[in-house]
Amino acid sequence: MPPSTPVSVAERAAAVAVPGVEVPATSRPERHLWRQLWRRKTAVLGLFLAAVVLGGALLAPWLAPEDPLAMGPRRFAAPSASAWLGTDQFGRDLLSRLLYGARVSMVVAFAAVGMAMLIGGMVGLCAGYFGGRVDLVLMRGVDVLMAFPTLLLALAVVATFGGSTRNLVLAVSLAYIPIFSRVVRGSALSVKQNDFVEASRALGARDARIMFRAVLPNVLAPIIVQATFNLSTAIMIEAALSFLGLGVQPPAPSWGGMLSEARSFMELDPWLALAPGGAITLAVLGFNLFGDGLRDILDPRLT
Amino acid sequence: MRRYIAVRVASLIPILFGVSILVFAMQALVPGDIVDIMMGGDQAFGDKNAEARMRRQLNLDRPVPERYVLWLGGMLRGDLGTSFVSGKPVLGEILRRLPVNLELATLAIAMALCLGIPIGTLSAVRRDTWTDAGIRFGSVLGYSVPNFWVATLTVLAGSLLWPGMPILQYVPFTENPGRNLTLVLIPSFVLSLTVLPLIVRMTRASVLENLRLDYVRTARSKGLPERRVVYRHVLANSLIAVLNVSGVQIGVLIGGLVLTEEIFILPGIGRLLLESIQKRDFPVITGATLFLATVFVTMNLVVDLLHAALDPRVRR
Repeated sequence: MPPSTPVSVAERAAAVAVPGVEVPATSRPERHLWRQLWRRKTAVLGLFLAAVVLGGALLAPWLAPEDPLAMGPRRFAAPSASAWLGTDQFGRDLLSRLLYGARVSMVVAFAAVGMAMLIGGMVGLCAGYFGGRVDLVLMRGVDVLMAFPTLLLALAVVATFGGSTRNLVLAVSLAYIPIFSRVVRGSALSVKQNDFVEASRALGARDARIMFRAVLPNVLAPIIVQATFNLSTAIMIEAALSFLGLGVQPPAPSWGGMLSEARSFMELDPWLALAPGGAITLAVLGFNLFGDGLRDILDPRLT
Repeated sequence: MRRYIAVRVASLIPILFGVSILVFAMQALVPGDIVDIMMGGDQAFGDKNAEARMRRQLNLDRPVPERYVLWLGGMLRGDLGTSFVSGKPVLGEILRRLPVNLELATLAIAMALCLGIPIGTLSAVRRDTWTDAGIRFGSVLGYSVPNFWVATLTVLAGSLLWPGMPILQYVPFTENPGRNLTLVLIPSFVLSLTVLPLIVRMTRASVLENLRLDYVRTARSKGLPERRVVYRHVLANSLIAVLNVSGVQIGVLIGGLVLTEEIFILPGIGRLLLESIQKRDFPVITGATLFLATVFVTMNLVVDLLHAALDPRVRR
């Protein structure tokens, strides 16, 4: 949280109210953060896992030994030098499918969390900053979304509009809007009490300026922590929906879909069920461990 | 307390009202025409008269706001509509399957509490030892493993251990309690793993927090044995915090139920929902969604009220 960089009320107010005047960056908090993160072994492990999954997703076309949709003559092949993880019921290379499956997972997770962060963040910021009737109306809407268990809401959206990457993003982000609204609203409420906000208002700053220059930077820490955890649950929800046949449609590879297809063949070839589930676990674990580390550093009161 | 209950129960009304609008809007927003979907989307074979009759029956010839009011009226009278596929009332279908969900959820919660509270307490008492580190890492791993994967692997293990075992037909508890429990115990245990890690974590955190408080020092200094301090004094106070997270857990559990029922082939509301999604049986989809959301907010309210009853500071 910002108090680590001591900045006087006047300086903050000036940064908010007068364009062009910036607070001098005496000690950069980011470097501090990385050093602290590096000291936590589990957080480093989490970062490593997340980076592996993200890298696999980004570089899938170059890393994958085969076309993930290309069927081959060798079905249910055991792991070997030519196919590291073996092949599936259509002779498709399992490793290549996992790598391309990571793309679906990452695209949906990042797009959905990003969208929820943007919309939910705006809602929470407005509700917390303006208070009163605006707060009441916005938060009632959030309460309605909160009335659905996350998976159920996502399920309802995909059931209505059909399964596709776009609808998955829509479904997951809708389910996450309330969390971000609540986190940002809570922080905005407490930041609003600070003198530097009052000071910048006295200097004649407009609402939008105060919100974005004074309140928003101070709620960033809880938002980032929340987003990291939500990335991991978003991966899980995407996988669950695809598992239920409501996500990305086959033959396109997705981890949940692969696990679901494997159910018919897993007595024959347990690898087919083990590999995609393991991939989901590692990805989710990575973001969870990284999130735990970030929270310990950025938001110590939550632990 | 009575006033608090009244206020909280009343706060449910606008939320449920909003929920009904959202669920209805989704039904109204379905791409394409519901009648077409029901007729199999085949215009050529569609009988125009039958279609028109169906439209009138479903009130589709009326404007959307009027349809909503009619639909809401039905809901309030307990009429959740009629299934397109079976032609039976939706509420009946849901209530017929409710016992399966109740049994699974109750067993899962009981198992998670019976395991989670002792494990969490152990972790706190042995703070910063290998036991604690192991439990903490285990709980992070526990909520990173997708439950539907664990369930799938459980099914796989079952079929590898007992090859050729026939798929068991579900039996209600009232008909044959023994058979029913053998069918339900394993799925409930797998389901309990969805909420176990958080219970462990919350128990640990709140036991640690309580151990630092003054009353613990008092209890210790008046010569109580450590066991008694932990089990009688600290744990009793820590459980309130555990109760407090149960609200979130119920949501996780409802989501988990849908997947568990699908994988273990148990005829609960989750499976009903999935089947109706596949058949595009919209009255059942909306009915089941509305029902589960109502259960969820009601359970949350019950948790909040319990919390207020146990901890007077909450009431204000």
